[in-house]
Amino acid sequence: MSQDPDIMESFSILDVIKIKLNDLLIQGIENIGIRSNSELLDLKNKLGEMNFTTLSELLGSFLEKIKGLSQKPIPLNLKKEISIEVLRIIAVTRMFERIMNIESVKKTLQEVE
Amino acid sequence: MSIQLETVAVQVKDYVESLAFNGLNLASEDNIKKIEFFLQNASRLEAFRLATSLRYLHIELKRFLKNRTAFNIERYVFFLSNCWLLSRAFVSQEKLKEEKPNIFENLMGTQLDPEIKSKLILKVVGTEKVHLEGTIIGFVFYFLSLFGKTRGKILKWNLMLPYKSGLTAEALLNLDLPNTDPSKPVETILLNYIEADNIPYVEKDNIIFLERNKESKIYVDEESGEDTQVSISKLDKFYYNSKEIYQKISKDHEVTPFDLPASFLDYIYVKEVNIVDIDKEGEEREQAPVYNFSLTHKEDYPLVIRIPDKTGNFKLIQEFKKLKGKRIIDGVFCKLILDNGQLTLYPLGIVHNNEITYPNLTKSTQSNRELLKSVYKIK
Repeated sequence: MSQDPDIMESFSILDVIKIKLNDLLIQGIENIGIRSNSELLDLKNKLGEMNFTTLSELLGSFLEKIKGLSQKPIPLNLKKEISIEVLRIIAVTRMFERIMNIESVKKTLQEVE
Repeated sequence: MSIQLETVAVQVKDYVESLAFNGLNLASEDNIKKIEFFLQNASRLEAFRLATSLRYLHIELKRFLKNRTAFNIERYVFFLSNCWLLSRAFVSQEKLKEEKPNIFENLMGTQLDPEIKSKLILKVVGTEKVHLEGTIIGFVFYFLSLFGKTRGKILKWNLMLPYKSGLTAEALLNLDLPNTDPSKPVETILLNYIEADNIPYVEKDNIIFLERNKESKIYVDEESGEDTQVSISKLDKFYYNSKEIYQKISKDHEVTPFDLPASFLDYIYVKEVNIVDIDKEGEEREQAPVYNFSLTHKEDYPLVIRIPDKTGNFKLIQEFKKLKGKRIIDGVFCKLILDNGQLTLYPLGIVHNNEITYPNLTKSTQSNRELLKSVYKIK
């Protein structure tokens, strides 16, 4: 089924976020957070350009917080705050995905009529 | 009860946050034990949705620790996120209960509380095979109801048992159909109408339980095997044009962070189906690959059959591969699913030349009744 390129791009950026989050949740935020900093920053900027403002801001907030991971030992409250950011990003990504899903199918059906 | 729920919620929330920070590579058997403890408490407090999410989190975590191929990261993240969202809501549950009681009830979930249907007349129109590696095997039977208040609805019956080495789901078709006298094997329901009396039924999910009630009586109408035209014509109720599909999607419920990325929309009967192409996606992304079968059909809106490449779907995939470019099928009865911006189908039954067949069933050549009785200690 051919799909609108803008919609395809939106789905693919949501996929990229999900893949990054999956990596974080398997390998641990401490292990992967700082290492993938520049990739995540690019992703944040791309999301901003594509008007995924909420997600871009959440990712920005996550990036700010993981700067603190250089402290040793890592303060417990910082660990918690970073985890909360990640879990928020997961929830919001899911909602965007669902909305995109519905709107994309509606658009296809309108084009058929 | 309220203080305890808050306590459990705080424990689960802290636990999920710590699991998210440390990652799965640091997970151990201790994590499994903790989830079991939370699960017991959530069930005791009747926080059913939280208990369900914890149960699935438990399954995925166990699979990861045992290095099972069935581990699915997407599913793990989904249930981890659900546990976090629910526990977060319950941390301040007093406020939520007072200000938004409906949302609170919804988040708590309800236990299935069946009513008894005095009489049902049913015809199977679809089957779905379930094979959860090392855990459960069985079927979901999709019945078209032909009588009473449920007439025209699709009612589901789950026949599932713990997985036993060497047994396939098809073997369960040789089990005795519950509450029949004289006993009949389950497979007789694939061909014939059944009349079922005093059957527990949950309206919310359209689930029936043929096995639960000792007062139930099930009669298989063995004369009805030839008479499938009536039930096939009733499938027209599930035939939709693009406008009707659009209306269904538009009146769909509100979006919540608990929604699955792929969501069930309705059952659909698709006519004049021609499989034109097949591709397989997802292998490169360390997730279960999926077969996409492109098709044409009687209406002009795009549909694609999408079948995950997993053990339970092996026969289904084979059947649709065989159909590519061969012939136009009169109709396919399916689940209609919104997935990744597409209308996708999961086939449950094929209608051709006035016959319904079930493409995921492998024909069993021998009777496994005695084996089944001993393995499952069934009388």
